[in-house]
Amino acid sequence: MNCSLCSIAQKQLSATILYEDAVCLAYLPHNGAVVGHIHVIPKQHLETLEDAPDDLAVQLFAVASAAATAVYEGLGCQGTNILCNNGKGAGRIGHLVLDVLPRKEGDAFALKWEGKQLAPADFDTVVQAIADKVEVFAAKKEPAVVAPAPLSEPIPAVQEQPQPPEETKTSEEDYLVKHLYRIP
Amino acid sequence: MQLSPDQQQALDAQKVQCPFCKIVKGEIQSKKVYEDDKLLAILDINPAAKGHVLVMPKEHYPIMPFIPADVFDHLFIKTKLLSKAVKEGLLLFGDTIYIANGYAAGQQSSHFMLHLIPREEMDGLDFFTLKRGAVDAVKTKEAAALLKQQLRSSLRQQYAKYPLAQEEQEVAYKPEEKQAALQQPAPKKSTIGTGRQYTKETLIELIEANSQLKQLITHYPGDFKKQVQQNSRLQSLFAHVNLAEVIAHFVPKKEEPEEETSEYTMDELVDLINDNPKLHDLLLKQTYAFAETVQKVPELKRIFGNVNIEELERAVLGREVRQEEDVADILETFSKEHITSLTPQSPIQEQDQSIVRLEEQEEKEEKQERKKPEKKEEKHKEKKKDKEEAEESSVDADLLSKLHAEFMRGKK
Repeated sequence: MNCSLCSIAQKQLSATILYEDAVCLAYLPHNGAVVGHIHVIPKQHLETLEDAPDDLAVQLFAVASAAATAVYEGLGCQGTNILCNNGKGAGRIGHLVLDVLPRKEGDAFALKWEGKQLAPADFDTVVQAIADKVEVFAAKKEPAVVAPAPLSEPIPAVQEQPQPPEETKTSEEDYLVKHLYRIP
Repeated sequence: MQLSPDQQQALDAQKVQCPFCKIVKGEIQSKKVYEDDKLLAILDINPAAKGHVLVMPKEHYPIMPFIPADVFDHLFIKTKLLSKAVKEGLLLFGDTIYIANGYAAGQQSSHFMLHLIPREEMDGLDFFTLKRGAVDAVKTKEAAALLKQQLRSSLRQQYAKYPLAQEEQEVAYKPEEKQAALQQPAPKKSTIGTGRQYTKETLIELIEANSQLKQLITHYPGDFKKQVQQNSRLQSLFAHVNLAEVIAHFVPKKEEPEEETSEYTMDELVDLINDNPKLHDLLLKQTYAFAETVQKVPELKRIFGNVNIEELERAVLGREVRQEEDVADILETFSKEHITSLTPQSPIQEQDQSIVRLEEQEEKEEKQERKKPEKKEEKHKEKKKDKEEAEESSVDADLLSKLHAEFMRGKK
């Protein structure tokens, strides 16, 4: 595979590496947008954040956050951005990258957008579309663990009511799955 | 993160005012996409794009480092999920995750949140794709030393899950000869003993005696310097002398006859690169590889040697790309010229001619046809010599043969 970021991760291309662990890497790109612009990349060739396992996704952002703190304290900037163009639509093709940017007031970056006016109906359809997917994905996550539980119980709806304090402790996935089973 | 009482007070005051805390409490209405005990995701009322989602912890944290580890983990696990949901819910292939810490970075509310902005081509949000500038190498180096320390300590305070890889070094691509030469000084040192201080004269003597090392310093003074700084044994060896003086002793004598000055001005080079999209891409996307190849291949060094590659990149970025109609023609001529410049025998004068050729395309076509078989052979030799360069030239070879086929078809 001819991926320059993979080559950096495998040390075939030289780079100013700031941090490295088993799964990810932080380095200063030679053609960064500004001094102190840091790239945080997974070592594995992943194209989107969704391809990463949960642990890795969290670690990437943890390193990015630490890098942001480092930039803030080390370079004396006034703010930091963490930016992840995730997928083709966002103009990123190839290896996933998190950009950490030191920011100063009045610098050359214009990461600002003009708010669009949407009809209230649009908001509703969008909410619905996204929330539906969230529910589906959340339910999918732990099918093996959660699915048998409500099935084995003949009357889940009745039994659940006395247990609300315990319910709050279980994760959101559990809740949503049970919720799904309760609907019919 | 530990807060002083003052900070805590300020934070509490912030919370009272914070509109997003009110949204979390339900005092202000919002379009909720997702909610659990720690997080809330809502639609931005002033979205950058349809489906712009704000993901926030329910607790009021002003900036990212304030977020405790458990919430942090949860936040990004759910962000991943939401990002997928946004993409699939809206049938798009991309989104941008945007986090701003601090007013200067564009943070608009004191309640930490991250933005999930659905993206598609031509959506007018291209500014999220950062412009590549060439940053100052010296400043970057200074920054690197600082940041390395800072990053580790701040990660230690935060939530590192994985152990650090063992003491990593900047691994540079080196010719074998250089590496062999580098191993030389170390044993030498051990035979003489550790406590001694070397004067400039003795060191120069030592280096004179070692032809490999001498060559290394003559040809790659920069790399030599870098290695000395990185290698602790070398460092102690050269600790008591001015490294620059030692290098200066060797470099000027040899360098002048061997290094020829670049015949091209910056403008000409920019033209050269702008006219060849492949080269252009290579320069912008893999500047490192490009710079390294230039350093390694003497023919390329003659063309680009005296130009700062980063400066060149900046100059290229500043120029407008030619119109598409021209591209096909120019591509053909320049892929050939590029190869001409790579061939070992080609003298500089020929390269100069190649620029003239650009303007007189018709004459050129005849010449090129005649030269083609030769060039290919030479190219094969090159391949063996240098992997990276082989990639480059093989791409050009493919291109060339395609263009040639097209050209022949056109003639018939």
